[in-house]
Amino acid sequence: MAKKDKIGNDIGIEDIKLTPIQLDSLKELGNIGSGNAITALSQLLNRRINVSLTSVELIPFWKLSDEFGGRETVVFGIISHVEGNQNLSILQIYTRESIINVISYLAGVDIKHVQKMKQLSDLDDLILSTISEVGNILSGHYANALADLMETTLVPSVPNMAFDSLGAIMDSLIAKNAKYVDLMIMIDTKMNIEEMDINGILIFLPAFETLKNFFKALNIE
Amino acid sequence: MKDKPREDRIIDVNNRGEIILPIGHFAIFNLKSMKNCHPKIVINGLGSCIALIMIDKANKICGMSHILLPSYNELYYNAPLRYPHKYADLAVSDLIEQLENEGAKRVNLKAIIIGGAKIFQNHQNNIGSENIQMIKNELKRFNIDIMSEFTGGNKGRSVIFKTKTISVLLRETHQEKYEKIY
Repeated sequence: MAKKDKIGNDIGIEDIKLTPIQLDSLKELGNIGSGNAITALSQLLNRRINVSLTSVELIPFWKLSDEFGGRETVVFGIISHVEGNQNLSILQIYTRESIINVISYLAGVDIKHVQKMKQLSDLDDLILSTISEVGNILSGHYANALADLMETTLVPSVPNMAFDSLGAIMDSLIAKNAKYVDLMIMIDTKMNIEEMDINGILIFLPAFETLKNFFKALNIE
Repeated sequence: MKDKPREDRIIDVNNRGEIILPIGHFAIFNLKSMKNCHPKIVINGLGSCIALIMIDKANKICGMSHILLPSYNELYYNAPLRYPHKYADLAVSDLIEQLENEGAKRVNLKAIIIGGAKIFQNHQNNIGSENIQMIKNELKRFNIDIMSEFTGGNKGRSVIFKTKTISVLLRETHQEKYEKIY
Protein backbone atom coordinates (compact mmCIF):
# COMPACT_ATOMS: atom_id res chain seq x y z
CA MET A 1 0.00 0.00 0.00
CA ALA A 2 1.40 3.33 -1.03
CA LYS A 3 0.99 5.95 1.63
CA LYS A 4 -0.80 9.06 0.60
CA ASP A 5 0.50 12.50 1.30
CA LYS A 6 -1.57 15.49 2.25
CA ILE A 7 -2.93 15.99 -1.25
CA GLY A 8 -3.32 12.30 -1.94
CA ASN A 9 -7.08 12.48 -1.55
CA ASP A 10 -7.20 13.71 -5.14
CA ILE A 11 -6.43 11.38 -8.00
CA GLY A 12 -3.49 9.18 -7.06
CA ILE A 13 -1.41 7.32 -9.60
CA GLU A 14 -3.11 4.05 -8.83
CA ASP A 15 -6.52 5.68 -8.82
CA ILE A 16 -6.35 6.66 -12.45
CA LYS A 17 -8.06 3.76 -14.10
CA LEU A 18 -10.07 3.57 -17.24
CA THR A 19 -13.14 1.41 -17.56
CA PRO A 20 -13.35 -0.95 -20.56
CA ILE A 21 -15.97 1.36 -22.08
CA GLN A 22 -13.68 4.38 -21.67
CA LEU A 23 -10.76 2.47 -23.19
CA ASP A 24 -12.89 1.39 -26.13
CA SER A 25 -14.12 4.90 -26.73
CA LEU A 26 -10.54 6.23 -26.70
CA LYS A 27 -9.54 3.52 -29.15
CA GLU A 28 -12.44 4.57 -31.31
CA LEU A 29 -11.38 8.24 -31.11
CA GLY A 30 -7.88 7.19 -32.15
CA ASN A 31 -9.23 5.11 -35.02
CA ILE A 32 -11.38 7.91 -36.33
CA GLY A 33 -8.71 10.60 -35.87
CA SER A 34 -5.90 8.57 -37.39
CA GLY A 35 -8.18 7.25 -40.11
CA ASN A 36 -9.02 10.78 -41.18
CA ALA A 37 -5.35 11.84 -41.06
CA ILE A 38 -4.10 8.80 -42.95
CA THR A 39 -6.76 9.18 -45.65
CA ALA A 40 -5.45 12.70 -46.22
CA LEU A 41 -1.87 11.38 -46.50
CA SER A 42 -3.02 8.65 -48.84
CA GLN A 43 -4.57 11.23 -51.18
CA LEU A 44 -1.45 13.38 -50.98
CA LEU A 45 0.87 10.51 -51.91
CA ASN A 46 -1.63 8.75 -54.14
CA ARG A 47 -0.89 5.45 -52.42
CA ARG A 48 -2.76 2.91 -50.35
CA ILE A 49 -1.61 3.00 -46.73
CA ASN A 50 -1.59 0.02 -44.40
CA VAL A 51 -2.84 0.94 -40.95
CA SER A 52 -2.48 -0.99 -37.69
CA LEU A 53 -5.16 -1.21 -35.05
CA THR A 54 -5.03 1.76 -32.70
CA SER A 55 -3.80 0.92 -29.23
CA VAL A 56 -4.54 2.78 -26.01
CA GLU A 57 -2.21 2.70 -23.06
CA LEU A 58 -2.10 4.24 -19.62
CA ILE A 59 1.62 4.57 -19.15
CA PRO A 60 3.94 5.95 -16.41
CA PHE A 61 5.67 9.15 -17.58
CA TRP A 62 9.13 7.60 -17.36
CA LYS A 63 8.22 4.63 -19.55
CA LEU A 64 6.78 6.58 -22.45
CA SER A 65 10.05 7.06 -24.31
CA ASP A 66 10.93 3.36 -24.07
CA GLU A 67 8.20 2.71 -26.62
CA PHE A 68 8.75 2.51 -30.39
CA GLY A 69 12.33 1.23 -30.32
CA GLY A 70 13.76 3.02 -27.30
CA ARG A 71 15.19 6.39 -26.37
CA GLU A 72 18.24 6.20 -28.60
CA THR A 73 16.42 5.53 -31.87
CA VAL A 74 16.88 8.52 -34.15
CA VAL A 75 13.62 9.55 -35.77
CA PHE A 76 11.92 12.45 -37.44
CA GLY A 77 9.33 13.92 -35.08
CA ILE A 78 6.56 16.38 -35.93
CA ILE A 79 4.60 17.71 -33.01
CA SER A 80 1.41 19.81 -32.83
CA HIS A 81 -0.39 21.02 -29.76
CA VAL A 82 -3.99 22.02 -29.24
CA GLU A 83 -4.23 24.44 -26.36
CA GLY A 84 -7.02 26.35 -24.67
CA ASN A 85 -10.19 24.72 -23.38
CA GLN A 86 -8.92 21.35 -24.55
CA ASN A 87 -5.30 20.32 -24.21
CA LEU A 88 -3.85 17.63 -26.37
CA SER A 89 -0.79 16.86 -28.43
CA ILE A 90 -0.41 14.99 -31.69
CA LEU A 91 3.03 13.57 -32.40
CA GLN A 92 4.01 12.06 -35.72
CA ILE A 93 7.11 9.89 -35.84
CA TYR A 94 8.74 8.84 -39.09
CA THR A 95 11.92 7.01 -39.94
CA ARG A 96 14.59 9.05 -41.70
CA GLU A 97 13.97 7.09 -44.93
CA SER A 98 10.24 7.82 -44.79
CA ILE A 99 10.81 11.55 -44.69
CA ILE A 100 13.35 11.35 -47.52
CA ASN A 101 10.88 9.38 -49.64
CA VAL A 102 7.99 11.70 -48.91
CA ILE A 103 10.07 14.74 -49.78
CA SER A 104 11.40 13.28 -53.00
CA TYR A 105 7.86 12.43 -54.09
CA LEU A 106 6.22 15.73 -53.10
CA ALA A 107 8.92 18.32 -53.65
CA GLY A 108 10.32 16.61 -56.74
CA VAL A 109 13.86 17.30 -55.61
CA ASP A 110 17.00 15.33 -56.33
CA ILE A 111 17.00 12.71 -53.65
CA LYS A 112 20.81 12.80 -53.28
CA HIS A 113 20.56 16.21 -51.71
CA VAL A 114 18.10 14.99 -49.12
CA GLN A 115 19.89 11.73 -48.44
CA LYS A 116 22.82 13.60 -46.92
CA MET A 117 20.51 14.99 -44.24
CA LYS A 118 22.13 14.70 -40.84
CA GLN A 119 20.26 17.44 -39.10
CA LEU A 120 17.35 19.74 -39.90
CA SER A 121 19.61 22.62 -40.87
CA ASP A 122 20.93 20.50 -43.77
CA LEU A 123 17.54 20.92 -45.45
CA ASP A 124 16.53 24.05 -47.35
CA ASP A 125 13.41 26.10 -46.63
CA LEU A 126 11.32 24.60 -49.41
CA ILE A 127 11.89 21.09 -48.09
CA LEU A 128 11.31 22.08 -44.49
CA SER A 129 8.06 23.79 -45.35
CA THR A 130 6.98 20.75 -47.37
CA ILE A 131 7.51 18.50 -44.35
CA SER A 132 5.79 21.02 -42.10
CA GLU A 133 2.80 21.10 -44.48
CA VAL A 134 2.52 17.32 -44.48
CA GLY A 135 2.63 17.41 -40.68
CA ASN A 136 0.02 20.14 -40.65
CA ILE A 137 -2.35 18.23 -42.91
CA LEU A 138 -2.16 15.11 -40.77
CA SER A 139 -2.54 16.81 -37.39
CA GLY A 140 -5.29 19.05 -38.76
CA HIS A 141 -7.28 16.11 -40.08
CA TYR A 142 -6.74 14.17 -36.86
CA ALA A 143 -7.92 17.08 -34.72
CA ASN A 144 -10.87 17.85 -37.00
CA ALA A 145 -12.21 14.34 -36.69
CA LEU A 146 -11.99 14.56 -32.90
CA ALA A 147 -13.60 17.99 -32.89
CA ASP A 148 -16.53 16.77 -35.00
CA LEU A 149 -17.18 13.92 -32.60
CA MET A 150 -17.18 16.25 -29.63
CA GLU A 151 -18.93 19.11 -31.35
CA THR A 152 -16.18 21.54 -30.50
CA THR A 153 -13.30 23.24 -32.30
CA LEU A 154 -9.75 21.98 -32.02
CA VAL A 155 -7.08 23.98 -33.81
CA PRO A 156 -3.58 22.51 -33.67
CA SER A 157 -0.57 24.80 -33.57
CA VAL A 158 1.79 25.03 -36.54
CA PRO A 159 3.85 21.85 -36.27
CA ASN A 160 7.32 21.79 -34.83
CA MET A 161 9.91 19.42 -36.23
CA ALA A 162 13.00 17.71 -34.94
CA PHE A 163 15.36 15.06 -36.25
CA ASP A 164 16.76 13.58 -33.06
CA SER A 165 16.62 10.63 -30.70
CA LEU A 166 13.19 9.46 -29.57
CA GLY A 167 14.13 10.22 -25.96
CA ALA A 168 15.03 13.82 -26.73
CA ILE A 169 11.85 14.27 -28.77
CA MET A 170 9.63 12.76 -26.07
CA ASP A 171 11.18 14.84 -23.24
CA SER A 172 9.20 17.94 -24.12
CA LEU A 173 5.95 15.98 -24.47
CA ILE A 174 6.50 14.31 -21.12
CA ALA A 175 7.40 17.64 -19.52
CA LYS A 176 4.18 19.11 -20.87
CA ASN A 177 1.86 16.28 -19.86
CA ALA A 178 3.36 14.84 -16.69
CA LYS A 179 3.78 18.06 -14.74
CA TYR A 180 1.03 17.23 -12.26
CA VAL A 181 0.46 13.52 -12.83
CA ASP A 182 2.62 10.41 -13.10
CA LEU A 183 0.56 8.66 -15.75
CA MET A 184 -0.04 9.56 -19.35
CA ILE A 185 -2.55 8.32 -21.88
CA MET A 186 -1.11 7.33 -25.21
CA ILE A 187 -3.25 6.47 -28.20
CA ASP A 188 -1.14 5.34 -31.13
CA THR A 189 -1.66 4.07 -34.65
CA LYS A 190 1.07 2.70 -36.91
CA MET A 191 1.02 3.10 -40.68
CA ASN A 192 3.15 2.03 -43.57
CA ILE A 193 3.38 2.19 -47.35
CA GLU A 194 5.46 -0.77 -48.44
CA GLU A 195 6.16 0.30 -52.02
CA MET A 196 7.53 3.68 -50.87
CA ASP A 197 9.27 2.42 -47.74
CA ILE A 198 7.33 4.83 -45.55
CA ASN A 199 6.80 3.96 -41.87
CA GLY A 200 5.17 6.24 -39.39
CA ILE A 201 3.35 6.38 -36.10
CA LEU A 202 0.59 8.78 -35.13
CA ILE A 203 0.43 9.41 -31.40
CA PHE A 204 -2.39 11.25 -29.71
CA LEU A 205 -1.83 12.38 -26.12
CA PRO A 206 -4.77 14.05 -24.39
CA ALA A 207 -4.27 15.83 -21.06
CA PHE A 208 -6.28 14.27 -18.23
CA GLU A 209 -8.63 17.22 -17.82
CA THR A 210 -9.35 17.10 -21.54
CA LEU A 211 -10.13 13.42 -21.23
CA LYS A 212 -12.91 14.25 -18.78
CA ASN A 213 -14.39 16.67 -21.32
CA PHE A 214 -14.16 14.00 -24.00
CA PHE A 215 -16.05 11.49 -21.94
CA LYS A 216 -18.64 14.08 -21.05
CA ALA A 217 -19.13 15.03 -24.71
CA LEU A 218 -19.46 11.37 -25.64
CA ASN A 219 -21.88 10.70 -22.78
CA ILE A 220 -19.55 8.22 -21.08
CA GLU A 221 -19.34 8.00 -17.31
CA MET B 1 15.32 2.06 11.81
CA LYS B 2 15.61 1.63 8.07
CA ASP B 3 12.92 2.85 5.73
CA LYS B 4 11.83 0.52 2.99
CA PRO B 5 13.84 1.00 -0.22
CA ARG B 6 12.66 3.79 -2.44
CA GLU B 7 11.08 2.82 -5.71
CA ASP B 8 12.63 5.78 -7.52
CA ARG B 9 16.19 4.65 -6.70
CA ILE B 10 17.55 2.45 -9.46
CA ILE B 11 19.92 -0.32 -8.42
CA ASP B 12 19.36 -3.00 -11.07
CA VAL B 13 22.34 -3.57 -13.33
CA ASN B 14 21.57 -5.07 -16.76
CA ASN B 15 23.65 -7.81 -18.40
CA ARG B 16 25.88 -5.21 -20.05
CA GLY B 17 26.85 -3.78 -16.67
CA GLU B 18 24.67 -0.71 -17.14
CA ILE B 19 22.11 0.99 -15.01
CA ILE B 20 19.61 2.73 -17.27
CA LEU B 21 18.30 5.73 -15.38
CA PRO B 22 14.72 6.68 -16.36
CA ILE B 23 13.26 10.17 -15.98
CA GLY B 24 12.43 11.07 -12.38
CA HIS B 25 14.77 8.41 -10.94
CA PHE B 26 18.18 8.51 -9.25
CA ALA B 27 21.11 6.22 -8.44
CA ILE B 28 23.67 6.41 -5.60
CA PHE B 29 26.90 4.45 -5.28
CA ASN B 30 29.42 4.00 -2.52
CA LEU B 31 32.38 2.84 -4.58
CA LYS B 32 34.34 1.58 -1.55
CA SER B 33 31.72 -1.02 -0.75
CA MET B 34 31.49 -2.28 -4.32
CA LYS B 35 34.37 -4.66 -4.96
CA ASN B 36 33.60 -6.44 -8.21
CA CYS B 37 30.70 -4.40 -9.49
CA HIS B 38 31.42 -1.17 -11.33
CA PRO B 39 28.26 -0.28 -13.20
CA LYS B 40 27.92 2.43 -15.80
CA ILE B 41 24.98 4.73 -15.20
CA VAL B 42 23.39 5.55 -18.54
CA ILE B 43 20.87 8.04 -19.86
CA ASN B 44 20.10 7.79 -23.58
CA GLY B 45 18.38 10.49 -25.59
CA LEU B 46 18.47 13.35 -23.14
CA GLY B 47 16.51 16.31 -24.55
CA SER B 48 15.22 19.11 -22.36
CA CYS B 49 15.80 16.86 -19.34
CA ILE B 50 18.95 17.16 -17.21
CA ALA B 51 21.44 14.59 -16.00
CA LEU B 52 22.79 15.81 -12.67
CA ILE B 53 25.89 14.01 -11.41
CA MET B 54 27.34 14.63 -7.94
CA ILE B 55 30.66 13.27 -6.75
CA ASP B 56 32.48 13.16 -3.42
CA LYS B 57 35.88 11.99 -4.65
CA ALA B 58 37.49 11.75 -1.21
CA ASN B 59 34.86 9.34 0.10
CA LYS B 60 34.24 7.71 -3.28
CA ILE B 61 30.51 8.30 -3.23
CA CYS B 62 28.59 9.47 -6.24
CA GLY B 63 25.07 9.85 -7.50
CA MET B 64 23.07 10.77 -10.56
CA SER B 65 19.59 12.12 -11.12
CA HIS B 66 17.42 12.40 -14.28
CA ILE B 67 15.39 15.60 -14.01
CA LEU B 68 12.33 16.56 -16.11
CA LEU B 69 10.97 19.89 -14.90
CA PRO B 70 12.20 22.99 -13.04
CA SER B 71 9.83 23.10 -10.08
CA TYR B 72 7.25 21.20 -8.12
CA ASN B 73 3.96 22.83 -7.28
CA GLU B 74 2.14 20.83 -4.66
CA LEU B 75 -1.09 22.79 -5.12
CA TYR B 76 -1.58 21.43 -8.60
CA TYR B 77 -0.06 18.01 -8.23
CA ASN B 78 -2.77 15.37 -8.36
CA ALA B 79 -0.99 12.28 -7.12
CA PRO B 80 1.08 11.37 -4.06
CA LEU B 81 4.59 12.65 -4.77
CA ARG B 82 6.54 9.54 -5.70
CA TYR B 83 9.16 10.93 -8.00
CA PRO B 84 10.76 14.02 -6.46
CA HIS B 85 13.60 13.68 -8.97
CA LYS B 86 11.18 14.80 -11.67
CA TYR B 87 11.65 18.33 -10.36
CA ALA B 88 14.94 20.25 -10.21
CA ASP B 89 14.03 22.06 -6.98
CA LEU B 90 13.40 18.77 -5.16
CA ALA B 91 16.01 16.62 -6.94
CA VAL B 92 19.07 18.64 -5.94
CA SER B 93 18.32 18.65 -2.22
CA ASP B 94 17.21 15.02 -2.23
CA LEU B 95 20.31 13.85 -4.08
CA ILE B 96 22.49 15.69 -1.55
CA GLU B 97 20.57 14.10 1.32
CA GLN B 98 20.89 10.62 -0.17
CA LEU B 99 24.63 11.10 -0.77
CA GLU B 100 25.10 12.30 2.81
CA ASN B 101 23.16 9.28 4.12
CA GLU B 102 25.64 7.13 2.24
CA GLY B 103 28.55 8.91 3.94
CA ALA B 104 29.40 11.76 1.58
CA LYS B 105 30.46 15.14 2.97
CA ARG B 106 28.71 18.19 1.59
CA VAL B 107 31.95 20.21 1.38
CA ASN B 108 33.46 17.59 -0.94
CA LEU B 109 30.54 17.43 -3.33
CA LYS B 110 31.04 18.66 -6.88
CA ALA B 111 28.47 18.61 -9.68
CA ILE B 112 28.36 17.92 -13.40
CA ILE B 113 25.27 18.97 -15.38
CA ILE B 114 24.34 17.78 -18.85
CA GLY B 115 21.23 18.37 -20.98
CA GLY B 116 18.57 21.08 -21.16
CA ALA B 117 18.55 21.25 -24.95
CA LYS B 118 15.82 22.89 -27.00
CA ILE B 119 14.89 20.11 -29.41
CA PHE B 120 11.95 21.80 -31.12
CA GLN B 121 13.27 25.13 -32.34
CA ASN B 122 9.96 26.95 -32.68
CA HIS B 123 8.54 26.06 -29.31
CA GLN B 124 7.78 29.19 -27.37
CA ASN B 125 8.68 27.93 -23.94
CA ASN B 126 12.14 26.61 -23.26
CA ILE B 127 11.84 24.07 -20.50
CA GLY B 128 15.49 23.06 -20.98
CA SER B 129 16.88 26.46 -20.03
CA GLU B 130 14.43 26.73 -17.12
CA ASN B 131 15.73 23.38 -15.90
CA ILE B 132 19.36 24.51 -16.16
CA GLN B 133 18.63 27.76 -14.33
CA MET B 134 16.80 26.07 -11.46
CA ILE B 135 19.52 23.46 -10.97
CA LYS B 136 22.21 26.15 -10.94
CA ASN B 137 20.24 28.17 -8.37
CA GLU B 138 19.84 25.14 -6.16
CA LEU B 139 23.50 24.10 -6.43
CA LYS B 140 24.50 27.63 -5.51
CA ARG B 141 22.16 27.58 -2.53
CA PHE B 142 23.96 24.46 -1.24
CA ASN B 143 27.41 25.85 -2.15
CA ILE B 144 28.18 23.07 -4.61
CA ASP B 145 30.51 23.91 -7.49
CA ILE B 146 29.88 22.80 -11.04
CA MET B 147 33.01 21.06 -12.38
CA SER B 148 31.74 20.52 -15.87
CA GLU B 149 28.68 21.61 -17.82
CA PHE B 150 27.33 20.58 -21.22
CA THR B 151 23.93 22.25 -21.47
CA GLY B 152 21.64 24.05 -23.88
CA GLY B 153 21.98 23.74 -27.64
CA ASN B 154 19.49 22.00 -29.88
CA LYS B 155 20.62 18.38 -29.97
CA GLY B 156 19.85 15.38 -27.82
CA ARG B 157 22.63 13.86 -25.75
CA SER B 158 23.53 10.45 -24.34
CA VAL B 159 25.51 10.19 -21.13
CA ILE B 160 27.54 7.37 -19.59
CA PHE B 161 28.86 7.76 -16.05
CA LYS B 162 31.55 5.13 -15.38
CA THR B 163 31.67 4.51 -11.65
CA LYS B 164 34.88 2.47 -11.93
CA THR B 165 37.02 5.38 -13.10
CA ILE B 166 34.63 8.17 -12.01
CA SER B 167 34.57 9.47 -15.57
CA VAL B 168 31.81 10.78 -17.78
CA LEU B 169 31.28 10.14 -21.50
CA LEU B 170 29.01 12.23 -23.70
CA ARG B 171 27.63 11.83 -27.20
CA GLU B 172 25.37 14.22 -29.11
CA THR B 173 22.69 12.80 -31.42
CA HIS B 174 24.15 12.24 -34.92
CA GLN B 175 27.67 12.03 -33.47
CA GLU B 176 29.24 8.62 -33.86
CA LYS B 177 31.48 8.38 -30.84
CA TYR B 178 31.35 9.21 -27.18
CA GLU B 179 33.78 11.83 -25.88
CA LYS B 180 35.22 11.87 -22.42
CA ILE B 181 34.13 15.08 -20.74
CA TYR B 182 35.28 14.29 -17.23
